[in-house]
Amino acid sequence: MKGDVIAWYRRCLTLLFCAALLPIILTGCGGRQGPDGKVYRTYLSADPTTLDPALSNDAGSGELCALLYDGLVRFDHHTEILPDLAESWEISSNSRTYTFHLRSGVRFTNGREVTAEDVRYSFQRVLDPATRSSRGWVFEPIAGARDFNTGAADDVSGIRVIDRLTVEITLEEPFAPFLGFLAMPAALVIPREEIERWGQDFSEHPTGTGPWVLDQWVHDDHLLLRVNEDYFGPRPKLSQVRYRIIPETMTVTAEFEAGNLDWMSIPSAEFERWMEDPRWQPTILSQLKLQDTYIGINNQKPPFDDVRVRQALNYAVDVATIMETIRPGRGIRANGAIPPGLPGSDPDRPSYPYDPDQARRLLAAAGFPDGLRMEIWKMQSPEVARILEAVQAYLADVGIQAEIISRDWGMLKQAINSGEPDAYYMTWLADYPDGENFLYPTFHSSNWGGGGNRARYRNQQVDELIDQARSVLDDEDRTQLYRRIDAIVHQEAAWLYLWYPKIFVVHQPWVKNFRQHLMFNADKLLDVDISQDS
Amino acid sequence: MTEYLIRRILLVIPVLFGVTVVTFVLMYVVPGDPVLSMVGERYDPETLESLRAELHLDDPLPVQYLRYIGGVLRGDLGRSFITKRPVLESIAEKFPNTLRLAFSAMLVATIIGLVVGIVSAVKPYSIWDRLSMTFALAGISVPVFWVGLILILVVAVQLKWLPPSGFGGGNIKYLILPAITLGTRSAAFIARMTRANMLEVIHEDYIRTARAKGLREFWVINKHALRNVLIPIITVLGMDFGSYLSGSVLTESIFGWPGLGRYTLQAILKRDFPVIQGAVLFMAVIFVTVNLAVDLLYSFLDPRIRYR
Repeated sequence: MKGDVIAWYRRCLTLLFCAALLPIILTGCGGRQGPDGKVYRTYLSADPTTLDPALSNDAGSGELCALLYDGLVRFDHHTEILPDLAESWEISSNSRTYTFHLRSGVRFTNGREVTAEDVRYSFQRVLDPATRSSRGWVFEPIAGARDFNTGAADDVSGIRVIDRLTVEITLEEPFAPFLGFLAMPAALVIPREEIERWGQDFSEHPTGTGPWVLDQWVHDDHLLLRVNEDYFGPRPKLSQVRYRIIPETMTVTAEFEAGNLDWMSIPSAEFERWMEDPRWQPTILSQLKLQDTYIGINNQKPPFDDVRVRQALNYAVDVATIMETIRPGRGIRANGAIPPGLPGSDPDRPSYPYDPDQARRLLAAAGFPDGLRMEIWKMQSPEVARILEAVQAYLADVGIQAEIISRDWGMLKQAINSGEPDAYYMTWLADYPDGENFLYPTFHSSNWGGGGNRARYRNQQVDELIDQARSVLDDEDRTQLYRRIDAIVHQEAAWLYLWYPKIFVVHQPWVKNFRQHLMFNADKLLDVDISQDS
Repeated sequence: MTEYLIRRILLVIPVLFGVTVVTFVLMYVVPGDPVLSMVGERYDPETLESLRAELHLDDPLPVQYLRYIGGVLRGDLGRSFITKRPVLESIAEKFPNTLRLAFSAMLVATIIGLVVGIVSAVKPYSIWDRLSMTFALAGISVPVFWVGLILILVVAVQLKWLPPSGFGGGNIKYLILPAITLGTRSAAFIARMTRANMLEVIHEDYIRTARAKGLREFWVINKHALRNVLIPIITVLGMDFGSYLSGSVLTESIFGWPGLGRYTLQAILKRDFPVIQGAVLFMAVIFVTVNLAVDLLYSFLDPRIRYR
């Protein structure tokens, strides 16, 4: 009799299994996909925080804003400045006034033509405290920007509309990287009437002039972009772009392997598997990022206010071996803050060699012959943990007992900005491709904490040289100054210098003209194509 | 019964009030500044101050709390500090997805758990019993994260039967793997509980009486034994369902499922106070409601239980 019950429940399980299979049978298998027409299937690890350029301060939203809007200028795939809404510009002889001539006939997706007034409005909006933008610093070099920002003036005196298609921008003083600032997401141009119409919800209804238009945004799931038929530039080769939001890297890999994504960044944990797989080798690309990976040292906190202690840290750690074992082939040993590829980087400057004896000598000279104790703070990441455990072992070898403290990003950032940790693992990614971006925010004493100088480095000579370099327009002279500044800071070991990371990506064979862009907001997806033709 | 219901509903008010107070205080005690999450990597102190003032974060804590409660009573949970989207709108967008996943997971858990548990109990120490209990032990021991990844690798990548992740606009194909992943642990618990309770019940006098009456074994087990086994199982299901409705961070993250759990986790990581407050309050309402529903269900399942 019990056999009846067992048989009945076995039938139940069979039915359950069939019920689970039914949708698969009815709707077809969900397996390996090929290309989906001319739809480019890409991904982000998190939902973009906004599609309002004034509020964009993360790479994901910056990347998307660059597709939907245009600025006066933009970056090419390397770091060159190209005309965008401005077809040309002149710089005055005193290097303070920039006159931009806009293209005629460029229209927002609401049908209205772009004018110089839109440029003025867009820039001023970023500076307006009511906008709650954190990117006001992008326009700070403009004359009168600070007065407007603090409410001392009703307008930014340095932005002047000359005529319908000409806008003139005057700076407080010459500022070499200014054109690079204008290629950042905060400087994208938006129509005033749409801001007034949508208010805080403008991000849900982005209206720009870029090659793509937002068709659908299902938060935390996907965004769908279609071609802007009225785009003034070359028509994209694709018909749609589908951004999936996939938080887990393992899931990204599965989606790529199933053929549902057209490219992916190769995850660290699977680097060797992908590099050794002959199927993918022809479509793997790599590029050095404009980024520093370093361990910041609190230069004001004893005993790390002593240059000898900071140098000892640099001599004590065998960074090259850590790179070979934990990140083989995925970076170049850092020899300063300015990464290769930017003016001011110096390929001839030697990195700190691994010299534990020298480290011990320096520690003894600084009054720590028996070593010292320190804390190194980090964000929660398995790879960072592996790196810091290796660093910890090297430091222990010279008598430095390092404790690793893990915190989530919010707590870590707050602690670092208030100068709490002795040292911290950190990266610094370029906002704009200029050596200044790796010197002024990171080492000028006016930028302690949140400004970017988290190491709290202070050197009056360096401050003066940075101030001087920012206003030198001659490329060669500026490059020499950048090199000099970087060399001083490197010699004073403001950081424990690690490496300039390399990124590896792989794309599907049907993706053509795939190109990596040095700046996160440089790619307007105009060239990439989907085609089965070899 | 009505009196009991009214009393329970009235008790919800201090519970929810407590939840808002505790959440509010906790957010300010835990280190981490929401404004720092808003400003990105480079900012000046003036920007921080102006943002704090704009968001009223520099007001005294009681003033902030009263402002928040005032909004809640008007049905306004505020806007996210980070995305500027209305919190209620976002919750309303994500909750149906979470509900869908939770229901599917519970369905998987109930069917598999009951079937496996009953089969085990009816033939104890048989090969079926051993297989079922091995499944149950594995289901309880193996982390959700691992189950999800293995399902993706085997079913989606190797066998190519189902899509690896995503919501798929509501297509049921996208629901199967997350539902199995989320439901496996509950299924294992239910299987063990069903077996244990069923083994007790089938030796009771009334079961012997039912058999003596000549009732078929199928009806003895399903009508007489199972009903008495269901009470503790409903308790487990209710608890699990309540927690699934609050979002399942791991499952939602692995499968890129746009649900409440991921939404809340992101808010916690970015110290997005309005979202955390709104989401926790909403989850508390859901949890309390599900618990009440479960309590009421007891009397339906077991007529001996009466509420006064």
